[in-house]
Amino acid sequence: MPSTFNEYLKSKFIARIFWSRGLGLALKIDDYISAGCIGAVFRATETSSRRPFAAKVVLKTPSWRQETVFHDLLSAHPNIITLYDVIEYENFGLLILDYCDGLDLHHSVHDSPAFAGNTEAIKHVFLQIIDAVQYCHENNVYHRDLKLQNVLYDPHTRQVFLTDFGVSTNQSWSAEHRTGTVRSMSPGEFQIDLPLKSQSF
Amino acid sequence: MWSLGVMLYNLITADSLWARPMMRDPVYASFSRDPRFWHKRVPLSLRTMALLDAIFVRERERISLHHLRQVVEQMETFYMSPAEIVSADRRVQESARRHGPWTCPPREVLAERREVHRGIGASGSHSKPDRVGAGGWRGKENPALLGDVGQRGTDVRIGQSGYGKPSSTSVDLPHIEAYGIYLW
Repeated sequence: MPSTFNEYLKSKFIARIFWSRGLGLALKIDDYISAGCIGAVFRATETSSRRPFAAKVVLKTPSWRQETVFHDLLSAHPNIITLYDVIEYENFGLLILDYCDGLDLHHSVHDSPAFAGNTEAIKHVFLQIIDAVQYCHENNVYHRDLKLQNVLYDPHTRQVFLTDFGVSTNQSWSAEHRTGTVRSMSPGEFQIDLPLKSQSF
Repeated sequence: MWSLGVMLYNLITADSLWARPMMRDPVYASFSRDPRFWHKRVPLSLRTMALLDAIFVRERERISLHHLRQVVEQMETFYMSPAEIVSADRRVQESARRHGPWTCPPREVLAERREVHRGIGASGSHSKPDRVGAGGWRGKENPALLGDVGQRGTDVRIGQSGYGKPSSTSVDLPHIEAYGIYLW
């Protein structure tokens, strides 16, 4: 099902041109990058200058605005990917994001020998992640799906960008459990009987 | 915080930790039962293990983001030195070999050193009780996070608890210093 859904999204979006009012630019979607939990990410190129952007397609779930609000709030930080514009359509929203020329950290770690065994590189990357998370928390936004797949890494500048605020929240205490990815979840989020509220980040 | 810990582990080892933090998961179960979980699994430096232990605890005792930043900044290495690998648990050595990029001494060297260890085993290098210091040292009060604990541990504790001095070449037995922490 997901793959066919992504095929469907691809067929719908690739080679289409969108007008971004916030940027004042026309963007042509020309390549598929990855799939998120809801929606997909495409590469969009500015039609005249060929500057690349990333365009994230999100379905309009009841809370889809929240992601854009939080992301917009945090865009100023150098380690959080910049949100330029949100284009709203009848059935979906399009988030125009900065394009990062690189892989997500999960794939960088597994594919390249640059990380395992290199304390300096890991420190460099991890401190940037801590900075980004700290900035989120200072602004009362809790990402709730922190994992290497949601961190982009640009090997040229060695900079790291936090992405995907799809399940983020501004409540530091949440009664909603089991958001995000099981693998990186704290055991507190499974204890549904004991503490009714669990800190979910 | 918890997920930052998982991320850190993934970054350091390029490997995944437990699939889910429940007792049903065998890896997580052995982690929560065994205070020396990291020692048996991955060739990480002592301070890294202490840091991971300060993250994977109950929320109340968990290290703060600010403190985590400081500890990571001060971290000299995330990994065991080759000398430490030589004297580490066999599973750790295997893991080090599997992951390659860590400076793991060749297999023959390891085998040879193991013989040496058996020779002096009587003086106690392998008869360490597993559960010394179980409980209590996980969390942010862990003295290992505060700096030069290794040396203090060697000087005082090893002598007191009757493990005898490390043999003439202390480079061969760095884990004796390492165990200083658990004899706290």
